[in-house]
Amino acid sequence: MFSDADSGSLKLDQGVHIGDCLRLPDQRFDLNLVDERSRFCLRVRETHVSAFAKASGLALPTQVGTTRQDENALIMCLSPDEWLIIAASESKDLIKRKTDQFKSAPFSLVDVSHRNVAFTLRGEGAAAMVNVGCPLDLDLKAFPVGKCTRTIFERAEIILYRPAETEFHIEVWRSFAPYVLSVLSNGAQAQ
Amino acid sequence: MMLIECPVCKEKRPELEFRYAGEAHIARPEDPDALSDQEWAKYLFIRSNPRGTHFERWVHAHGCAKFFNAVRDTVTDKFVMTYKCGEARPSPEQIAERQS
Repeated sequence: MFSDADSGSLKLDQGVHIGDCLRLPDQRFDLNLVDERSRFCLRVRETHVSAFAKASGLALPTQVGTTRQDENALIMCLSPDEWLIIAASESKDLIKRKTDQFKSAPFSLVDVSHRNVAFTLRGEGAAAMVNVGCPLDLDLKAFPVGKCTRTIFERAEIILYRPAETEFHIEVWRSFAPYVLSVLSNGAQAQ
Repeated sequence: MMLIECPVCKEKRPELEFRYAGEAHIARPEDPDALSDQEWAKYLFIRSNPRGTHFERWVHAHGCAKFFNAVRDTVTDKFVMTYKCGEARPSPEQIAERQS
């Protein structure tokens, strides 16, 4: 499962390989696999959100489609009672410890670190590449920087997040990743 | 592509993200044991199937994953309005206002 990277350090093999056709030097975008991260699916009832945020110290965004980035984690609000927390892989225990501070009502924190892999698409052509498989309006007015959403990419479900004007972060279930890459690769050749 | 407004996300999203979930406002009988087989079958299977305005449930499956209700015209396939689960069925006046 672990392989030696070029730098000589141990790196987790995430089981996804980005093909050469997506690495052409003349492309208007750059696709990369995000390194290993810890990810959590958090479910808290709407009525307990503010108490939960106070006790855990995790600043949960409450409006669907918004995100909040602090020094520990990126938190995406996917639904009024559902959040995806993405943090560095060594912050796993920290997130668990923080959420354990909330004891007054049931909630669920599920480690989904290895369920997903993530890609970043950077560059002028990034939005056009996302639109290869996703019909959302990615104009900055409709999809501003910082917005996230669960949506569909061809036939696979993805979570799309825009960290910068010309950058997209795509979370996808690991087993769907080769499919998403093949759609992107076809799109890259067609453009 | 048809766009459907999700009342939870408060956004118009492509229909691919949604799933249909049957007719809305069908309450489960309080005491199923007291019902005859015919009454129970009516609750389970018999639907209004109107030509025109239809109240129906949808789920934003590849979005916020929440159920909501919608008013759709079965002739034109146009969505008149959507509203959250638990809210009252819109009145004919409200629907007419949206359609005009």
